[in-house]
Amino acid sequence: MTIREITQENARDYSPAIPLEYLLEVGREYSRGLAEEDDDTGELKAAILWELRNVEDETLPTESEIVWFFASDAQCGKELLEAYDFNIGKSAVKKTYFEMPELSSLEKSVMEDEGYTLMKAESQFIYLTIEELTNARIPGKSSNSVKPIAELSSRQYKAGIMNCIYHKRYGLLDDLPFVPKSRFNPDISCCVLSDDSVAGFLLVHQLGSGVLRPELFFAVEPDSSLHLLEMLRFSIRAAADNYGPDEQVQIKRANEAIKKISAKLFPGKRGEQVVRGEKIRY
Amino acid sequence: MREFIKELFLLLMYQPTENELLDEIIYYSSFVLEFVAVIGVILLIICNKPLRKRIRHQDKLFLNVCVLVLCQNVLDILLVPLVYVDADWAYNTFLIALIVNEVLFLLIVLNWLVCVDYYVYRSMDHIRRRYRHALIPILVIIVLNVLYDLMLFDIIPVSVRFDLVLYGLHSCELAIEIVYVIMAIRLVKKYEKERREPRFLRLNVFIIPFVLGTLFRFYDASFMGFGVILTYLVVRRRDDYIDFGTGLFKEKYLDYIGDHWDKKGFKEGNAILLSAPGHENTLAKILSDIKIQDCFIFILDNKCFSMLTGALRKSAVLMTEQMISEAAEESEEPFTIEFKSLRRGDGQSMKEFAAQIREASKALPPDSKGGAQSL
Repeated sequence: MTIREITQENARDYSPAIPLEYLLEVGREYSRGLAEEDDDTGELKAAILWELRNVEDETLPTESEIVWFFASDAQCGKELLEAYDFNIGKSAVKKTYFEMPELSSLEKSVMEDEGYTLMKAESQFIYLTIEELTNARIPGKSSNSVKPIAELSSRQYKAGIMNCIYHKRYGLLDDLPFVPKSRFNPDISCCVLSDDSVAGFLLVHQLGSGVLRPELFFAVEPDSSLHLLEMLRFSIRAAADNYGPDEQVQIKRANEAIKKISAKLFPGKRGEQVVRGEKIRY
Repeated sequence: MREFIKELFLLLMYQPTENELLDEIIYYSSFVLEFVAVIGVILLIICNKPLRKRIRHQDKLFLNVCVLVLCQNVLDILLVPLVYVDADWAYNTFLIALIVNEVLFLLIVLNWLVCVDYYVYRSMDHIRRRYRHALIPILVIIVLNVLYDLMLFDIIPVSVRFDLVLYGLHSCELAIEIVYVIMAIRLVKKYEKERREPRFLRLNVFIIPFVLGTLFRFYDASFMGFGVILTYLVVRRRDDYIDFGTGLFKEKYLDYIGDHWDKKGFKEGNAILLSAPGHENTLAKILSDIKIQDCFIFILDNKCFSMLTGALRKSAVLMTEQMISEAAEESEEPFTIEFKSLRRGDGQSMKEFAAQIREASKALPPDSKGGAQSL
């Protein structure tokens, strides 16, 4: 058995065993992956993909989020998790955690043997259709100051991102400064222009599975609340124009503010039951 | 004592007392103070080039306040001869002038609030958006005042207690003014909480004259004049730290901001030093286009540049350097920039960090001083 690092170059070799939407993320600044294959048959025995969090933030401990895990053999799974543990140790990771829709009993036992605490919980992701979004009551009016990012020059875009990161707002992407503009859907993603500079972003990424995911939603003061609503309204309308009503949108309720907004705009919408796990590293 | 309070009350309500001497003193002193205020505001405009030339948005907005104050004071002065005219037209003109005076008072407070708002956020788009309908309450007051006068002259025959209507009108005006003042106070409180930039603006230098002007209506115009002059003088102190050639902060602001951060207990600090020998003008232009709240850009005495901000991740520093480098490469005469990034150490005071920034700027390419004359 050989454990290989999954890189941007070889990522596609693991498709379809590993879903493309996860493989496409490998190669980003803080995304990593490992795979264990049978030397003779080349069969994939176990694989793990993860993202490092708070690497640059000295005020928070570095963490690692496992975004995908698979093991078809207990020994391989164990070896892979040990290799993973060694790998994240190099980045001084203090905690590793994950949320997955389901784990096989073998995967669960491998995880538990490696010291992970597992539990059933409600997912932090909620899925909405474009129709549900268009039916949501978003207060306020449309504004001419909101533009799709397709209309932004590269410099304007970067200046806007710089504005966000100087305010320590990275959205779901710890590597936001390194992420190219092309990652985001140019028509649905939008920004708000104030005094000729970008004062806010709503950046939407389309996953390999086709699901749309807002990854940065931020506006600077003044009028930040107003700008956020204007951008939200713009993106929903653009999404309705460009996609069918049943197209899925994934919302990650990453913090309390998003949880509150989601609960207000989409009352009764709940995340699916998932398996959560975590392990504290000493 | 009762007599004194009664006279004071009558004065507050724009009515002469029965004490002729007191009336004379109030009357002439208000005229003299209005005259002084006019001269003061005119001198303020003449002596301050940014204000006179309306160089920045803040100057344009402040000039609006100055013009309104001048109008109010000049109007009050022009009314003086009317006092001696015993004719209906003079009385009518006086009544109209009183309405105009009230409206100008409201407009001055509103425009001062706009100045405070701009000072806090420095966003004209925000000003346009937020104060788009700000004139509506003032228009309502004008209409109510006109209706009152029409009722007073029996043009609209209504049987009402005119004194009560007048009190009601004054109360509405006062309520609007107080709302503006509270809005300004809230803005500044928010600023204090969220921002790292020292606040030169002092609200009390306007609010105290405003309160006095509201209490002693005979002096309202002159008090507004003094409030505006004092406000500009305190705000103007910030201009001493600005290099008007580039629009960036001068090196001495580094010490000022350092003292402020130390006092406020801000522990974090990052500086990016930049040097581009012979291309200082272009680099200054690129840097002045960077509009990020609480990111302070300095032109140091040795013509190096420094960006100072709070905590900054390494990737943010890298992105900043990359973005500025790209802008330099895309300029008419492409050039390269020498960067150096500094991080404020744990327990390091801003005074020490400022010294470190200065020292590090000296270590940048020595020929970087070559462009000093061209700047």
